[in-house]
Amino acid sequence: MSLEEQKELMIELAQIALKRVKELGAEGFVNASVSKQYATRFSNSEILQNYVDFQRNLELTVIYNDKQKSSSLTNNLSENSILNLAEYVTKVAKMVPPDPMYPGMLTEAQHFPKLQLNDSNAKNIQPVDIVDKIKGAIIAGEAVDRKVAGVSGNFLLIDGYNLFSSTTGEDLVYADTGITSTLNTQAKTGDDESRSNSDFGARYFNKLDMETESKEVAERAINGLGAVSIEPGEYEVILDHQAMSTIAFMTAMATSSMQLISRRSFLNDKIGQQVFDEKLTLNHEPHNLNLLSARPIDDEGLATQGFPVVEDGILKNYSFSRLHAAKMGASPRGCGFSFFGMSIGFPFALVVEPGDKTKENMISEMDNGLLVTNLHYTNFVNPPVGSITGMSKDGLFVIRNGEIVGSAKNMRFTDEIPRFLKDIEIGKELRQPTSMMGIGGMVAPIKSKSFRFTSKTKH
Amino acid sequence: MDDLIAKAIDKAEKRGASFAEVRVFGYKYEQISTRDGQIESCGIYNDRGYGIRVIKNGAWGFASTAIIDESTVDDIANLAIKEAEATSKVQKNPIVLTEEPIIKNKYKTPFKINPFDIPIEDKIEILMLSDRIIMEKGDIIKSRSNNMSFYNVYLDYGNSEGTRITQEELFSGAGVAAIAIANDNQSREQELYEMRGYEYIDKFDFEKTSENVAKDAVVLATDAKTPKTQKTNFILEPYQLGLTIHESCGHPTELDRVLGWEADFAGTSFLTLDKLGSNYQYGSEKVNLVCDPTMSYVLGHEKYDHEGVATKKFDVVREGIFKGYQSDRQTAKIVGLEHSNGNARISRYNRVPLVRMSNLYLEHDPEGPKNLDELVAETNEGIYGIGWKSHSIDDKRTNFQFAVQIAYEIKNGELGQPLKNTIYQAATPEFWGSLDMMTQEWSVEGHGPVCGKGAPHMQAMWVSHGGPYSRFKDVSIFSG
Repeated sequence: MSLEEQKELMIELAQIALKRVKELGAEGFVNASVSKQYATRFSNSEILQNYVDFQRNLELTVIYNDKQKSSSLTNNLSENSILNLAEYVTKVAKMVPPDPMYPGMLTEAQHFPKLQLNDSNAKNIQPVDIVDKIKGAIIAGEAVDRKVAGVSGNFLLIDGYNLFSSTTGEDLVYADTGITSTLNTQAKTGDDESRSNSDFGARYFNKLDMETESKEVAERAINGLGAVSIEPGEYEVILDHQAMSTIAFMTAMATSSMQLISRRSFLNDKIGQQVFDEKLTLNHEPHNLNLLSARPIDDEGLATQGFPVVEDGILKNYSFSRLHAAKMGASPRGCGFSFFGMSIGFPFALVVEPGDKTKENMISEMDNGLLVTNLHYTNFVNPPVGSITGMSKDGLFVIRNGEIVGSAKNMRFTDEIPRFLKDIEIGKELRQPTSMMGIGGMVAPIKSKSFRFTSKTKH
Repeated sequence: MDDLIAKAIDKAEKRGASFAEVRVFGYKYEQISTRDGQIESCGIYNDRGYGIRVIKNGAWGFASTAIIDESTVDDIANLAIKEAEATSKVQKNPIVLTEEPIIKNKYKTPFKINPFDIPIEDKIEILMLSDRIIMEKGDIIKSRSNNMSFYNVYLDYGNSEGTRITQEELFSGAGVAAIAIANDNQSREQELYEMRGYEYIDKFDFEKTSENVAKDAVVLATDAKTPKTQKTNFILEPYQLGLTIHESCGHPTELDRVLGWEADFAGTSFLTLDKLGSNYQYGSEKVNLVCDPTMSYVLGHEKYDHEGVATKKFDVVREGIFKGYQSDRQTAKIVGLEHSNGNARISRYNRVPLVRMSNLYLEHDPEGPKNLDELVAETNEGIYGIGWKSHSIDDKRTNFQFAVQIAYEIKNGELGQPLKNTIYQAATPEFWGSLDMMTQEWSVEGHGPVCGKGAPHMQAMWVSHGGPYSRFKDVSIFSG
């Protein structure tokens, strides 16, 4: 069955499900998607796995008496399966106790922006095209230096359609293409080894420049050789794009209604307060076509909207699901994310407002510090105070008197987000690292006056 | 499924595959959860399909679909072949697999009560009672949540060598959490899983667990102090010991990580190939870490892995010496092992198998203190840590830092002052080298489908770990 045929089937089945829900005396909405996905895993300059999948899901949410809700999901897109789903979910919705705070079916008319989110050529891409692109990246990386020991990484192309449809007549189907890749290059000489990593993406296959990225990653891996052990402590640092994307993700999490409703965010009760350096501005931009996470509608049927999250260091807005907004006396703004029947708010299209200095400028102005290219396994230690821990990975460089003078062995950091984002400078160049657990964002490097490393490793 | 599997293998072989395997895989998952006395989620999630993986011209190809119908076999087999042909253009080393016994069998994990037969109202009633128990602790409790979940996972597997397996797993999980705010904002939670049916809900005991979780949350927010920075004896209970095993032993002994195949996402390993068979000292002589998916009722239990290999019990560390990796058929062959250790697993039908943990635990000491009380009595000074709060470890799995939910000072052989924000940080071989005492009492705890690995499609796998109450010497403790 072609992708177009699957799309038509998805639309037809959504209507069948909603009609049945209405017949059973309830209201509801459907979130569904169909896509073709090409994926590749490669390591040590060889392809490990090349695979293709036709992904599809239909999630039905039923609302009874405006206060009782149930959701279920299936990937079995047969009429019988969908009718069974409608009957089951409606039965459960009628059974669960009412939630007095649930806002019920969405009744306000929504105006969805028209966004061109797909690559119309994606449907013609063949496995051999992807192999050629990856082969090009491997060759480009290996050509940088004989010390390049191998290029590893992954590639994913998702091309398909998303649907939202409700018993109140709200319907939207839109096409979406997203391509993401990671390159991880190893450099080696004798017993000394170093790695460098980059996550990046594009909406158009012909704009995904894996060769240029691979050269840059390989050069960084070579520069990482000869790492010396340095002592943990407070350092002035430049957090490069990859590292900053992790910090942006953790900060975004703290503005999510999920964290707020459970009182586990360091940003609880901080709206209007100067939490960060005044140079920090973070905007939620779901209509920014440069973002792979751009979309016209959220999972609850609300039209997406842009809004400032942090402006000049002042916390401006949280992100709410409809239920969480009702509970917290706020208005939802189209950033609801649903999973397994739960909805949370999340600023999924976060953009850092760039500064005016290049990364090279920031390095040249640093007397004694570190360039952190990538953070690994970062988690909250104590969410109410914003303390996080993680490791540097694949590139920690020593800066002395305005120059990178060598690389350092990895260290663990444990620090509080509002502390190390209190005295910062923002870089000029925006990039879109795609590692934020599926959440999109464009970030610039930042320079932090003080960042706490608390222990070290032998590599 | 026999006809579909046979047809797919035949089709792949006719298109030149030297090896073909078919996995019809799916799960049904029910989750019911509440937050602050209201239903947060209540529903069933069905996911199923099949995938064909082939080797042609020495390269892998894989394709999958959610339409489990013979009419789709030709297309999916052709796509898998096409992927392999494309890959083979750049393949330097042809794929070779270990030779494994041909198996034809069916297996179902044992259970007493099918959770999908239990009315939802009964489940909601239990959760609401749990919620009320937590709420009774008063206004100091600012957030309450709980959940139960049930999984039915099935696998139909066949390959061109003649192996044909049907395996069905049924597991259940339950969780309770409370957040209290007074002098401090603190949380306490417990979530556990076992490869059992609805009978596990009785074993979990929502009433008792809710009471204990709420009580601890109140203690954390009111009476608990932060620990001073120190090096001291540190005792871990089986669940948090299990997380420590998972991160510092489980992941670094996955052979695909060792080969660099996860460098772009999960990381690599300090347990490099030269350490196998070289008497590498991973820990103290008391450390016996064992992988045993054959153990019934634990969450990582399965009779066959997802390449059709019979799982087995094997040593990862014996008497402190590193003994073996977790492996699949390809990685085992690459490093010259005769057989796979049976660790290939997938989380969905449309994913390729990866080397995954299943059930990995620390063996108890049959001559050690009988239980926690006796172990504490043997400890003049130290800290006893309970439950997961936070974790992080480096890409080679040496430097880790974990926080526990609640801890207690130990003084003169007795538990004393409750502690909050307690963090332990260590290097893997040094930490395991400091294990000096373990109890006879031990348990294996299910950590749920929470172990993420693999890119570009991360796969979440269900695992179990544990062991005895275990004491480590001179562990760095601080607060944060």
